[in-house]
Amino acid sequence: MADMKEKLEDMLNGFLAADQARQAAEDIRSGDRLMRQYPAPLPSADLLRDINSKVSRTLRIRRLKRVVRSVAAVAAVFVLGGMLLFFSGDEGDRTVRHVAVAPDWWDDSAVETLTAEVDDVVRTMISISIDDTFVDDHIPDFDEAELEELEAIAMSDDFWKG
Amino acid sequence: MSTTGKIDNPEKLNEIIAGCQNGDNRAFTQLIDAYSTRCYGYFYRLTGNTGVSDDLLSRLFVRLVEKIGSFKGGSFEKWLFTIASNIFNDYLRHEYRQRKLLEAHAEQLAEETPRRRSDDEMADRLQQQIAKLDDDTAELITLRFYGELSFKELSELRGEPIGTTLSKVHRGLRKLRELMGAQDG
Repeated sequence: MADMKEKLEDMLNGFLAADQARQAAEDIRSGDRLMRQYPAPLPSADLLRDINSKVSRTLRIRRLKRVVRSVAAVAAVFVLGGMLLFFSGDEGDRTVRHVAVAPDWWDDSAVETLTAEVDDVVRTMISISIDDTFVDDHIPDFDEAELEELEAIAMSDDFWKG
Repeated sequence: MSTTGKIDNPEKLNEIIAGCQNGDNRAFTQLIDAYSTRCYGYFYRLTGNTGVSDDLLSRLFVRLVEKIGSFKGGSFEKWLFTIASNIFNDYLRHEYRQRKLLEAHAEQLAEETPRRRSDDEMADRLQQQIAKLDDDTAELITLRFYGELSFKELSELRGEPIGTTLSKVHRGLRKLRELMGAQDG
């Protein structure tokens, strides 16, 4: 109990006269005894099972977000690297790289294709991560709605919002 | 007081916390086993309602998963019960807003909303008397008892001088004893 951690009378003596401190310490101890006489109800086994399952789910979502963040970071490095390469060097070099890497780099459809490919990689990583989680933790399968919810949470990560 | 699964060994507790910080599911289960009884008691004594206490306990452990990375050592109990206290106060604010909203629409409806500390059929004598204390005192007493916090930890948690905390707990427990005595008489 808390009063084991500190000497109650000594502490009270700093604020009260000796006899008042003694009385206050006794009041506090008898109050504690009263609290012990009436124990509060215990959480039910169902509640604890439910909490454990919520905690597992939260942990899985956090793992998933970490994977998505890592993949997104790698993808961002590639995209930025490509852009740096494209914009660096003289006009002649730029033309060569332009032709060699992506003929219509600034074409909207090409950007959309690239974005779709990155999204595809992210989705694949998510599905791999979910499969791994099932195997490692022996967690029952998600239904479709739950899986979609997880993906939606992961994909709406701050990175994607820019 | 029942302290099911209590972790008395500080090294063991540190090991479990490190496991939780690494996202280990089993470590969280151990932490839940160790602290659910006391945290539940804390919520129950403040709300007097098992349904609400169930909900607040769930919220506490989910928030623990989100926050465990920010625990940098020191008293884990003080840290845990600070989160529990924040959750309880969030709940109070939410309920206050809801009640205000209902009152604005219809007085009759407002009367039908659940009271913060309902004297439900399950409530024991102590619960009924704790409900008569002011919110601040009731929280201090329950925080100290279920959190097993020292007065120093309690005053730090509350951000008030230790003398103030001592005085409030003393007066609160004496009042509680008087209320229990009056009921006996």
